[in-house]
Amino acid sequence: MSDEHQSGSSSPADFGVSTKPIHIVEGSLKFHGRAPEIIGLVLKNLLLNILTIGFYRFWARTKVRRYIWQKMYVLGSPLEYTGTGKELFLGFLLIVFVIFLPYAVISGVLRATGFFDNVQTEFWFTIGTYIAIYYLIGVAAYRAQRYRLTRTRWRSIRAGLTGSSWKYGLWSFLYNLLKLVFGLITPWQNMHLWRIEMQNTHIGDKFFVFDKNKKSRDVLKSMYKAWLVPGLTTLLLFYGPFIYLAFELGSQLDFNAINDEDFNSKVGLYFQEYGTVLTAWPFYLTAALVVIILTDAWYQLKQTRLLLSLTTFENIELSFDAKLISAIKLIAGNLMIGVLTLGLGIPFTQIRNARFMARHIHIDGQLNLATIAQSLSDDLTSGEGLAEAFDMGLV
Amino acid sequence: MSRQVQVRLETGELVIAEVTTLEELERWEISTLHWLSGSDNPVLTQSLSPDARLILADTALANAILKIHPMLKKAVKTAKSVKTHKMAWRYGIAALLLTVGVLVAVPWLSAPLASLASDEWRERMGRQSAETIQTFFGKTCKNSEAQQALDTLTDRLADELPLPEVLHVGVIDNKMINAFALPGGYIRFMRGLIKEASSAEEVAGVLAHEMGHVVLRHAEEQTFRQLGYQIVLSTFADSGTMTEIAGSVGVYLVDAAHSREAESAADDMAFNLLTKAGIRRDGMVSFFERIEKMEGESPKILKYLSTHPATGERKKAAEASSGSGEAALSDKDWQALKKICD
Repeated sequence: MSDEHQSGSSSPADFGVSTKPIHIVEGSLKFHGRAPEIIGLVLKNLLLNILTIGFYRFWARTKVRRYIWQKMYVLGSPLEYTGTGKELFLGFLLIVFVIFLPYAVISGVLRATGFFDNVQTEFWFTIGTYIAIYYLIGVAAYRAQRYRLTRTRWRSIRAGLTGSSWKYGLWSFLYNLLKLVFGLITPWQNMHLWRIEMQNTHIGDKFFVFDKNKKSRDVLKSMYKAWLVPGLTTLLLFYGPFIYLAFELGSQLDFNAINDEDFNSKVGLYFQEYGTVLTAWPFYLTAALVVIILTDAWYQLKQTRLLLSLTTFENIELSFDAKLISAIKLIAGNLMIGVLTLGLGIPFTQIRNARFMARHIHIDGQLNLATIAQSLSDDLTSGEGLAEAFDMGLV
Repeated sequence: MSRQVQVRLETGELVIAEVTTLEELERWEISTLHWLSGSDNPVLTQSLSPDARLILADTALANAILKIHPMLKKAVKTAKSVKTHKMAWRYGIAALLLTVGVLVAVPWLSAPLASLASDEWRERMGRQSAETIQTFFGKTCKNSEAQQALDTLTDRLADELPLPEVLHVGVIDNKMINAFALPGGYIRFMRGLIKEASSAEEVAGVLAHEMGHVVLRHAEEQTFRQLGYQIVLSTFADSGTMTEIAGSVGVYLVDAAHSREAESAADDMAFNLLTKAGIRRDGMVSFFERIEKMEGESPKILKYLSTHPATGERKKAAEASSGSGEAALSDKDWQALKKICD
């Protein structure tokens, strides 16, 4: 149980003016951080990380996060990041000793005993490794999210994420596998994974609620409608030319009376004739890719808007209003900063991301603090471990 | 649980009391306080009760506490940000200096580090890289007759070199047309290159080029360079975002320039080697010609992305000093070498 105080002035009579009980809070999401403020931090982190040949990175990361968290105000009060560099470092060590070293030993032993002399066994071993890694990526993402949430406090109240990361990893793995042959699963997948994540996310002892008013069916329909935009664009721009080419060629060839030689020469002729088209192909592909990425970004925004609208916490409702153009500005700006500064500008892009979030996510409603108690679970002791190993994380 | 309290300041202590009954709940010593964040409604915590947060609604009280706690004052000062205009300049200049500093310092340090590296370390690095390459690209071909031919050619060229290490030259069973030099004198050809080559002199040209890399310690230098960039990047990597990939792209573009320099240096070295060994150098030229034909006319932008100097330029440089000489291998040995992976 936390012991949180809301202070008054020296005279209790001052509170008589307010008609609202002090434990009701409202407001929005605000970010007060500014890139120039962390120049000193960035320089110090770089110096120490070079001197420690990279081992300071866990502490560096923690310090940047601490800054960003404390500049993010939720309903008038700042967030607090209580994670430590030591925890991230221990997580890294854990992964080295539990996954990397055993893997190296096992594959070393298998090689030494001649297990890999058969090319096929080595092939399947490699495939198995890839599958395991692919599975662990989902697990790692969930655990990283859990670590960050348990290390986040708001008015001393700890957040958290329950549920099994192994199960989440399995879902995400199966979906991604299915997506390879059946792209249509995407909206369904995203809603399901979001649901799992939200229903397990808590602040204090209260959980987020997904789909309070049982509208997820309608929302899923809207998601599918929106998904048609990137889906059909991809189909048209990417597969379209191949389909067209196949039809064109097909109409010129008599498949009943043809031998290989004939076929090859005809195809060759065809390509010669359309030589200019072929040189333009890389440019076409690049342009098509840009269009596909834009439509996909549009869908992602729409999806976030829809999913957040179904997500509630107590009496609080969430909404998201970012337009495509501001998202493009954010992402393009971040990419430019990344390339031009060789990655040194990443902390500044983190600040840009936080500002973007605060600007476009809205929190509506009043929160009754009296109903929220501290959560008792604080089970994580070592940092992101797996995520560190795969160098990935949040959302 | 959240509750409203009344706070008053007594000599060196904050007295926290129930609002209505004024019943005293806790006394917090000023020296044990920490300023968590905020300047409008500052949040305080205290080391003895780490779970409690005191949110001050009264600015006058907050200021009064500040006056008697210099440490808090400092915390607030850093929390209150400096003028943005001034900082924006500092921000831009610092970012620029940092980037340029890294660009200069990393390559500048990696060359001396590469020449300082011990032979054992280089040998171990090379062996490990060669093993990794095997798992990703294919086995090393083991035809002993062909290997002997390759070793003969290697020895002939290596005789002209003051090398401390033994050269390990091998062919990987992969259809790519490529060859590369690893640290510690490990050189690997891909089967595709041997098959594509129309004469032993062409193979000799490539081998001499890779030996140039070995002599100049390019692989070692690159290892240190990439390690340096990686350390710098790791400082800022957080959540595996696109921005981090963009950072690596930036590093790659910068590094490609270094690689192009290295390729030209290795070409020069290759020519000297072939000349000293008395091997015909036109093989090198014809090989570049063939590669160029296969590449076709690539858009100009690719030039900057490529780690090898554009083949046209290389060929021109090669033609300038091409001349006569002996065959690189006997016909019998050449025929054997071609079958190394069969």
